[in-house]
Amino acid sequence: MSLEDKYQVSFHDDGCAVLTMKNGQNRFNLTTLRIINKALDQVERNQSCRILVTTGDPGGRFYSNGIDLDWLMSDPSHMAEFTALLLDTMWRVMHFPIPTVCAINGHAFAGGAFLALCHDYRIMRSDKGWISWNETLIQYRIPESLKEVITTKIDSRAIRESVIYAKRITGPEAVSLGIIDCVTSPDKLISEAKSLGFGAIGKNNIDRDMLRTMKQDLFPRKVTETSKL
Amino acid sequence: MSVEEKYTVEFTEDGCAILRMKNGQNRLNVMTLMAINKALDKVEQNSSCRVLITTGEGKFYSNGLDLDWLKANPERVPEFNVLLIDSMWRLMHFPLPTVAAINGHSFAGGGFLAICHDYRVMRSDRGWISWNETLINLRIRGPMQEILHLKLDSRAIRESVVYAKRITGPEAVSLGIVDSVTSADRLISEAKSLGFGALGKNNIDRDMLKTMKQDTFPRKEFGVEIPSKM
Repeated sequence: MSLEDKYQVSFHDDGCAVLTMKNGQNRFNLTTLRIINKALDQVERNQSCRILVTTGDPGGRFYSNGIDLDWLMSDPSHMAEFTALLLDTMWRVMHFPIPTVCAINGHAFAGGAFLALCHDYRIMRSDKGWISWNETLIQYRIPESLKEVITTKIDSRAIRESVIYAKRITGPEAVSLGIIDCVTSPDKLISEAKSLGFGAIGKNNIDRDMLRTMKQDLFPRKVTETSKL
Repeated sequence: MSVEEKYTVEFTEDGCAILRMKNGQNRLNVMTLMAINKALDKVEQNSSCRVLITTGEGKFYSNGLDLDWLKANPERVPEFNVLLIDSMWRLMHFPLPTVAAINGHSFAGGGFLAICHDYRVMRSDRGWISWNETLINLRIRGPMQEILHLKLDSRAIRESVVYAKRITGPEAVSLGIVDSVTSADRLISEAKSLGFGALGKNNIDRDMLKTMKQDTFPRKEFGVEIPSKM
């Protein structure tokens, strides 16, 4: 199976695009980010598709375990290019022209948690998986360009618990902190994710460009300095 | 009846000022905004009044901007924009507790008007609060956007603005857009409770209250802080 095959987009008859990441811990490096963007291109090109759900392997332990640090440390010359692509990808999802739902099938740590926050909606398993930012524990300062993602979407109490004190937040705790919208059983994860996405549109016809513009205006990307993580 | 007569202020014995908008859909144009400001002047001039409640009549609290009038009077749009923003921030920084008693629909500009108040109470059984700009391809930028971010969290913004959902009273409470819901006949009395509840047993100096609101909810336009003109 090629690496690209591990990031599949399927277009369902009901108008949902489901991007499933089946690449182990679904970590981010230059290659995997490029593949994810190609998948997002496929979704955007499909005019009949109305919502996007992203998820990991249903049987897998991770939604995403964040940045591929081994790869990054093994060749720091990639840092600038990787950082730019990581931030661009995050904000592409943040401003995506159709409703986006993160169906969090397992752990979402650090970079994975950032990606989850970039979606409009988040749903987790009620029984397994944590969402968390562990940067405090590995002495890693979160650069402003990434911090923006957090402060745009969650409040100070959620930030205190999941970021500052790096707690491993379960699904139900994440609901009460407002980090995610709801929890469900694993067999209902995708169908409930679809409900959230289609529920956003309701009976409306929302112009894609207008939706992207509205997200850009209301969740603006302000920080331009992105050369280092 | 002149426009001004459709925006009345009643001063109640318990120290409340009730600003009633009785102008159909209570849409905002230069004339109606001037009438509202004149009414607010009357409230500010009455030094014995301690709480301001605004409300509408019938189906609407306010259906937002008077788009027909704006289209028919394009040369007055710049004047309107200034007056709209100034009026919103005047309410944001009002020197008394303010309560929007949302008797009916509160759409777009009407939604903004409502969230400029300190408190909001809606009917439990009727009426929606919503921003439909997404559905009519209208951008929300600059000063109006600041108001959204000061009063609503990202989830409320997602539901009521980005996805333009029609939010009922009970939903608005759970999203934190309004403080409470009640039956129509109790709308004003609940509004009074919220307003007087803000004061409690305190004597809050009007200038200090205005200053505190200005400091904590600063008016910035495109990143620059603008001292409030009203």
